[in-house]
Amino acid sequence: MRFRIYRYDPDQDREPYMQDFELAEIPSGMMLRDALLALKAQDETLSFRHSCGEGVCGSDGMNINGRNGLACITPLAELKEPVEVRPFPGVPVIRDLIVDMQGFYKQYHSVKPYLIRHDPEPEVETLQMPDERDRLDGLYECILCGCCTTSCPSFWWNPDKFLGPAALLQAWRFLADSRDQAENDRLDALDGPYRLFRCHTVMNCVDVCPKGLNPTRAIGHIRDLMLKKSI
Amino acid sequence: MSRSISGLRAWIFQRITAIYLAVFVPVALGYLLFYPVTSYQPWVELLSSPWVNTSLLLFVFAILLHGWIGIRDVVIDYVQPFSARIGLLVLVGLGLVACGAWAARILFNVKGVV
Repeated sequence: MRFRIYRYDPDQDREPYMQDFELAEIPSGMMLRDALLALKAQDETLSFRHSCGEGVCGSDGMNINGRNGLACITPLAELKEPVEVRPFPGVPVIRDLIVDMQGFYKQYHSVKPYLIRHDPEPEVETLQMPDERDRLDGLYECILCGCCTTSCPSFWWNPDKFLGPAALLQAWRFLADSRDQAENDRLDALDGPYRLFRCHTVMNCVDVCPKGLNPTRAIGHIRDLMLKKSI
Repeated sequence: MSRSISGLRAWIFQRITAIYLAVFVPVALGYLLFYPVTSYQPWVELLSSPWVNTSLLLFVFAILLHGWIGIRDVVIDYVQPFSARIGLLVLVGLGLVACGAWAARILFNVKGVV
């Protein structure tokens, strides 16, 4: 199987280039991450992040044949040859397939992704009804791999100001939580032309999310709630 | 422009004006299809009806506002240098205001004729 892989080592290369690789044996069920590890055995300078190998840690997000995804859960059988592997678009490349996710994390931190309570701490857990807990389904599963945010054109144009789908999904995750008590502060922080409203419902985020989550719907919920609170 | 006007409010106005445009345009075109206006005098009579006049004025207002928010969105997305952005927004804004003034002049003048 043929591969074309983005290579860039800022210490040695003047500019990025695509390197061709070939793997002779492809066992059935082989995932792209396994192939990359085999290619790294051929050329040990090839660099990429990976860890759990089963789509849970979110480390090996990359652009595979033009689509963001996790290498460890992308079967080679589904990919057209030559498999073109590039780093996430729209974020700085550190080396080869490794990108700088600082901006992504900064936006994530800015939505205060934790429960904020004004009441005194309870003696036991803050209880929740089953239907209140159900509202968090489809939100809490995010693994912060960055596939959605780095496939979003609005994030490409304004990465420092637009929060991006992953951070906004988490913003809604805490707005939707019955135990959170900072609804107004959270909504105020999201208003303005950039942070939330750069979303033009392109829905690349929904298309690529390896966990099947829907940030666009979450963003819609935030807008609805903002509207309800403003009239 | 306060931050709240440029965020939620812009988004809401864009949707409200979109609904008005989506209703007004087919109705207006449908009317003109069934009752074609062929000369100047029937135009003047049609436009002098307060219903037509007001709804047309609203249409002009809606399309200008809708256009402003849409173009502003495109500029915010794609034009990054501050001076170019401001310059472009001022140009677009002036152009839209001029269009609005022109449309208002036509509509009010029609009223004056009858």
